[in-house]
Amino acid sequence: MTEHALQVHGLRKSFEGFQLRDVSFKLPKGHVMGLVGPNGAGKTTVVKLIMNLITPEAGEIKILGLDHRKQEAEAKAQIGFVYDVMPFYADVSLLNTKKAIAPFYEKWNEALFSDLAATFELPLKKAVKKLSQGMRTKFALALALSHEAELLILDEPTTGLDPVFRRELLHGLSGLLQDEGKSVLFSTHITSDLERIADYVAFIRDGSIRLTETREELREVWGIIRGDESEISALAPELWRGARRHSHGIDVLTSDADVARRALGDSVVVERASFEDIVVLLDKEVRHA
Amino acid sequence: MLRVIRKDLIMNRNALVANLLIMSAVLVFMSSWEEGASVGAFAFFAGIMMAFVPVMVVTREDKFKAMALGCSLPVTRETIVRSRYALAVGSSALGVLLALSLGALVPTSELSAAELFRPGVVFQALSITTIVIAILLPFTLRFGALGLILVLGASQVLGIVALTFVKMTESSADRRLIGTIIQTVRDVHGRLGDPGFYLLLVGFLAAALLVSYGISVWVFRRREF
Repeated sequence: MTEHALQVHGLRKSFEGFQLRDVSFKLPKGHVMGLVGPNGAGKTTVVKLIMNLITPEAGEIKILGLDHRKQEAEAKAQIGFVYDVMPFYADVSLLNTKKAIAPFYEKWNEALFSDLAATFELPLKKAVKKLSQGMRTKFALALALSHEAELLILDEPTTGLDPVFRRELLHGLSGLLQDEGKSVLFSTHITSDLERIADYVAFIRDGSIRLTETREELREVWGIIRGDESEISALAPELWRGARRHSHGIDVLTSDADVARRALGDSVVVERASFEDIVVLLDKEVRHA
Repeated sequence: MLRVIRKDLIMNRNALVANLLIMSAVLVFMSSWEEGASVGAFAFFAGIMMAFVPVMVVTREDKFKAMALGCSLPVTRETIVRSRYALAVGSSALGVLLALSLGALVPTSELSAAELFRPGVVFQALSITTIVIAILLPFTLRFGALGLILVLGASQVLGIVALTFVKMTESSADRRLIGTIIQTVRDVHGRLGDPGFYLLLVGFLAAALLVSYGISVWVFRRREF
């Protein structure tokens, strides 16, 4: 038995003007991993590669220990998926869509689907095209959760949702995950979503994974140093993970806030780095030793 | 495979019925021409038109970008292709039989029921529909609705080029070619008799579908969504 829900190793894929380079990460079973990065960073490409919707030029993907191409059907039976734009037939009702999809899953749980449909207030007799983006996402989530999938792959599921519904969705998702110990890969550019539910965070930019850390590590160890550039210049280069200059001075992202605090003293302000700080600053204006 | 066919039938039920009704209405109209469409021409058009009904399953999927949904379900791409062929062959064969029945049964029809259900006519319509499916499916599975347009466009261009060539060279090559094909088929039919000929025809159609299926699997496995 593998201890990882998802193992991605050395993934490469090129499109015109974009390259995914040697993407590797592991998602331990029963945990949530956020795949975060700006638009165009390669998040959806990674998800499409995992779902075998596009073909990698190199690399290997294992889903619960199964090869994602050689054992495609077995692997996908374990996955619940939600895409940012779900490719449903717009003129077919939710009920008929469910009727078409449910038989693909041996572990389909009709009672669970009915519960989720009631919780999400899904209008099952309406055609998909008559639903808002939020309702479509809820429907996709109900489908994804109703076949007792071991691994959920959520690609930008909160994009286009209003903040109230986004919070509700994340709250519901978090509850379900805690209760059932499912593994989740959650791709998003909205970093605040991940601060609530992710155990691990992988930061992706320009087609490569720049950093993979636990949420605790990022929250407790990483920091932002704010001050004058002359005051911060004493920081060891290996702790300087990115920076942004502005009219009042410079913000430097550091991978060890405590060490930076001790090295620089009280002349600068050292704060906890949010995920958004890390997305914005990581690998920007890096100093080399 | 049955689960994919079931999904396709559920997702396309209304569109399939609507298309079948439209095609049937056109064929009923055609069967009622006073000048009298020949039984052969009716069977030919019935075969072509009914082949387009199941191809619509693929073009609709493309229209809604729903291939990504089908390919995210726990099923291999080869199974998806196999299901499409099974659905296409099954439903177009039923469509052809429905069309011939309409030609035979509607009161306004000028066509003879006995003629329409001669084995030769039934086989002709089924052969046409099978060949059209064998040509269309690899293109539609690879390019979606654009594939259908490509095949139709290419057929038009080919026809125009052939006609222009014949007109310019004042050649009778087209008639000679078609005549030779018809004569060859008749000779083979004459030599083998009905059972042998129809068996050969079924073998030929099965081979055409098999080649088409192989190409479709190859292209569909490489398609990216």
